[in-house]
Order: sequence, then structure tokens, then C-alpha cells
Amino acid sequence: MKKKEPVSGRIDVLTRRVAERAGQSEARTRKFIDALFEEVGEGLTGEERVSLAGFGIFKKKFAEKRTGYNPQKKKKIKIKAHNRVVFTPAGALANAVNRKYRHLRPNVIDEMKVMTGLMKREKTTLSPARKKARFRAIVTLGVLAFLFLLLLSLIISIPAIFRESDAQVVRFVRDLNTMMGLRDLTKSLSDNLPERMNEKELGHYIFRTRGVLTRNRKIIEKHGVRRGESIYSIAKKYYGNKFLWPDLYYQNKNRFEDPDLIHVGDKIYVHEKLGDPGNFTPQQKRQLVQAYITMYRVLRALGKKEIASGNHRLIRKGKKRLRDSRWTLHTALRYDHKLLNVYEDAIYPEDRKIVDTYIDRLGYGDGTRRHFWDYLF
Amino acid sequence: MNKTGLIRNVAARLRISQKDARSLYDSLCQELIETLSAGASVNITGFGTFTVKKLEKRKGFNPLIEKWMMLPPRRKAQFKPSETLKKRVNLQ
Repeated sequence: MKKKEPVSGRIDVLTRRVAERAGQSEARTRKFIDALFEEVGEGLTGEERVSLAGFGIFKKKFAEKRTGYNPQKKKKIKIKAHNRVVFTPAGALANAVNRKYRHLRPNVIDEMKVMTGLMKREKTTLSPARKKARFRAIVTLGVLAFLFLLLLSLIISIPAIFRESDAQVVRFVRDLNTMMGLRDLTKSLSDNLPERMNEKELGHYIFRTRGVLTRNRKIIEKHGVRRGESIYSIAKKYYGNKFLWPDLYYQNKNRFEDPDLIHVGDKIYVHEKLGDPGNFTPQQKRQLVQAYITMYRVLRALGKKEIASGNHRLIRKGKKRLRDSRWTLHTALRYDHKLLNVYEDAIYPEDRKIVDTYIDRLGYGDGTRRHFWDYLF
Repeated sequence: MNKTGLIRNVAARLRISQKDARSLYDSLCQELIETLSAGASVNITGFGTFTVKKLEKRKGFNPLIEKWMMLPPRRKAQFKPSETLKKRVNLQ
């Protein structure tokens, strides 16, 4: 007898195969199968067990009353006492079903291994798909970690980059403005203030040329200097804020050379106020800062000249002037914290270092201090 | 009840000879064993399902030799009774 159909658990396939094997009709075998299991059930209800040689044993077991638990509803359930049907495969069935592993035998485990590894989870072999996925995950993590470290190093090195390039940016914008022919109040003063010009050139520039600052500002007052007055006091009188004195000096730079030296009877032209120091526009801030830098340069030049003179009195005066030059720079910091970086080309390095120490000692002059993150941004 | 008793009852019920009943029973057993060893599960309505279950290898303690053993993987036949059978068994 040929059995060409594949093995299937479906009842009709089963009956067909049984009919073929036994040599009976399909209808009969179907009836037989139904009747057989009916009888098994009857036997179970009547007696305790039905044992079929070569197949297995059907048993009826008693289960006591117990309280179960429904985890979904989180409730306890009462389970009544009941009978249950149990099947134990035996003989040919058990052997045939286990044919694949029949050759395997239990092995005694080494005692030492058991002691050390009893609680250890056994090594699970990974499928190739899982291995691939795991490898890919590791690679992505590695790449991300590398990128993160790269980013971190870049962030840390930003201050080093920007210390050099801030001045370059300013210069570039400056050149752009000159190229495009934009000349208005917003044009920065340091367009006209070339880098590190010598004292002679500086003197010519400061004392001979007219200022850009005063272009659109009208003269409020022509103030005659009285006894005991200084630039500070005049600025305070007209502007209410003595820290605007570089602006005042700049308005009158044609008229006198030394800001520390004004005489009774001199006429000082007072223009309109530059702006409210609390809320400067960026242009106003820039103009004031650049006025301060001009003052720094002037005082420095004068100081160097006096020191070079050889006269001991003048030398003492010169030293004081140099000190004053640095302190004017420091006062300018309250308007622009990044002054030393932006105007790097107009500030001498030794003065820059000294003003750095002032910042460390006293902060920026408006109550704020320098923190390590100021170096970053 | 055992095999002979079962066959006798079934032959009486169906009014066929016991020889026929026995041959049918044997062939049925053979077929069931073959399908189960192939891994397929068999469902008899009103009675239950026969399935094949796979057991992984596991550690077991052999109290006879008082040693731990690594039991190999194996497959075993399982039976799950249907609701009608359960009711029948419990009503009685």
C-alpha cells in the first residue's frame, strides 16, 4: 500500500490513511474512530483508567478544592473539586515520538562545576540574525561615542579658535564696509584706527583728524572750564554719568592733547549725549568702547614718551599714565565683556595680560565676574 | 479497561467482527504514532488533542547515584482533554 499523502493531524486525512492501512472503507473507519474514543470516554467515566498497550494510559485523577488567582483582574478564584483526565504516553508511542533524540543519554555533571556554576544561567546560542543585530548595535554605539568625544573636544577648543579669529572677523567686516562704501554713524571707529601705529602717527591721527562720533550730534553747550573741574566732572554734569568722559574727550580731541591737562578758560564743546548707558544700542556701545580704546592708546603713548624723557619727575608721571591707561581699558569692560578679544589688534599684549589680572581680581567692573564658561562662548 | 475490553465494546456498538475491529484499532494506533512522531498534532472532536512537546536539556539530580546529571533534550506526546470530555468525567 502506498501512502503518498503527507502526514497531517487532520481527522479526514487520518481516516483515509487508516482506511487504506486496514483495508476498510473510509466511512467505516470514521465511525470506528468516533466509537472508539466514545468508548474510552465511557470507560473513563465508569472506571478509573483505560490502558492501551503500545499507546498509553488514560487516567482519571481527582483534584481537591483550591483557591486560584486571576492575575488580570487581580482577584482570587475559587476552584471546585473536580476530576481531570490525564494521559501518559507509553511504549511504542513514547519511543517513536522521541526518535530524534533517542541516541542521547544523560551525563553526570562534574561536582566542581556544579558547585561553581549551579546558579549560572546557561549560555544561550544566538541565531545569526541576532548576532548580526548585536554587532550592528555595538558598531552604532561605538560610532556615536566617537562622535560625542569629537564634539566635546571641539567645544573645548572653541575658545582657542575664537581668540584668534574674533579680531579677524572684525577686520573682515571692516574691510567689507569700506569696500561697499558704507559710511554712516554705524561705521566703527577702528576703521580709522590702524593697528599698532607708532606714537607719531597716533598723534597725528588723534590730534589732527576730526571724529566720526560727532557727525550727527549737535552741540548743546560750549562749556568754559572753571577752577577745580576735570573731564570727569564735566561729563557728570552734562551727561549724568562720568564714565562717558572718553566720549566727551573725543568730541574735543582737536582742542587739547592731554586729557589730564585742561586749563581754566578752555572751551569744551559738549555734544548731545551718546545714549543711555543702561540701554545702549550696539552701535553706541561700540562707539563708546572704541573711544575708550583711543584713550588707552593716548595715555599709553604719553606715558611712554614721558618715561623716555629721562627726567625722573616725568618718569614717575609716565608710570602713572601707563597705569591709568590700563585702568581705562578695564573700565571699558563693563560695556563689552569681550573687549580684549574683539579689539585684540589695538591692544598691546602686555597691557592685555595686566587687564586680565584685573578681571580676575575685580571682575568686569559692573558687578559681574568672569567664570570659566566665559571662555567657551 | 484495557485493549481487549475496549475492542469488544466497540465491535458490539458498531456490529462488526472483533477481528475487523482489532485490525482497525491497530492501524489507527500506527497512524497516530506516525503522525505524532512526525510532529503533527491530532484533534479528535469531543475527546481532545494529542500534541508533541519539546523539552530542552536541563540539569536534574539523580538521587540514586546522588549526582547531578545533564538530561538531554527530548520530545514527548501530550494529551489535552476537550471540554465535553471534561464535563462528562465531572458530571458523573
